Amino acid sequence: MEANININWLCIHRPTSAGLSHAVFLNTGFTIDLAHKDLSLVLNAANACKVPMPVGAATLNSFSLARASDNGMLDFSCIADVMCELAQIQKPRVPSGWKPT
Amino acid sequence: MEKIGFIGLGRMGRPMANNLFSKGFDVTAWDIRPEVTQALAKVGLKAGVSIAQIAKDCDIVITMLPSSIEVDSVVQGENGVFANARPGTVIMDMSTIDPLATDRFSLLAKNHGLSWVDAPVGRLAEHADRGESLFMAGASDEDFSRVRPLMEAMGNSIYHCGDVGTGGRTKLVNNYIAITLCQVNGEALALSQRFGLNLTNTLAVLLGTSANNGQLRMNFPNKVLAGDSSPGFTIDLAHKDLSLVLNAANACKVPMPVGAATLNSFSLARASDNGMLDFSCIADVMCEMAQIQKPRVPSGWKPT
Repeated sequence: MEANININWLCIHRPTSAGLSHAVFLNTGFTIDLAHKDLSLVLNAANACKVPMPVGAATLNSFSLARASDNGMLDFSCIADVMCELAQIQKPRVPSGWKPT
Repeated sequence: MEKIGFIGLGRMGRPMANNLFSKGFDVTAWDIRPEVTQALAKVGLKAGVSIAQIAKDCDIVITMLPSSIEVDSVVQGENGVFANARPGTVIMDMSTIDPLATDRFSLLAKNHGLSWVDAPVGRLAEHADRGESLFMAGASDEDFSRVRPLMEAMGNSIYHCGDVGTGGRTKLVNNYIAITLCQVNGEALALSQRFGLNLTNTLAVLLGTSANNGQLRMNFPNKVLAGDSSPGFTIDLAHKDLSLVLNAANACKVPMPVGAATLNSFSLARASDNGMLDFSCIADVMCEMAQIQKPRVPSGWKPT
């Protein structure tokens, strides 16, 4: 399943060198591109039946910004990295081997 | 033994002062409402006469107040803690306030030969009642070792986050997530209701995927989904904390688009007179405004 997602993605897009330089790309579970696609479906469906989703809309916008800055192929958890990068904040990293208790 | 002063005996301060007393600490308590101070004196705590007297008598002064305005009025001025405390006194502010105000108070305390600790409380009032609170402390190592036994008497999870100011900042990060989760769950449940989906089936799916979250699992089933709007934590307080988050974020240039949208949604809920409801009821408010049937589980339903 994970492999399929990546293969499909590779069929549609040509990865930029900036994108491939991210080690995270190799371990993608679910991409920012796919999250953006799903959230677009959510908001389209919500608009069709008049359900306001202000946070959904704000999140879609944030994912659009991530795609515009060539980060669409990263795992969707990397939205944290993209936001830090755009705001010039140091990316959050735990010590190697750290696990939640 | 160090003498403890406790200022601010509201829904959180009362059980916290009580727990200190029942674990053997020498506690002098004071609230702006004399009848509240007297009520605690009846169970054995010393009733404080004034803020100035508490500052003169005590080695550690705890404040548990609604906002930086009240903290300011307690510590500043000729009758305040700063002007009356002996050098070496520790002031431990356990309120949730603007971290920039904490930075300011800490500097003023230092100028008076005092030290400041920020140690806001995590978890709910019911946990404070049972002495099971979580504390996030910002303090020097030396001050932390002095206040640690007090926190151990009032709670069971204590984190030393770093220097002064890191406790309140950690709390804002935490409350940002808890509050926005209520909003996200509310939007999702409104959509599910409008789609006409089976609610308990939807909930089972959500709780079994990475959509699972603490609010949906622990708070929603006991509160909004059961039709119980009595507050553990009100929409008004969530709005206050989220305002602090966004002010602090703006002050250090951190964009928070979801935080801003959530604040607006909570403002709308307060404007429609729903500020006193439990914050999980943001789901109800959103459904009401959009004319969607409110999400309710069958009586006795629990997440598996």
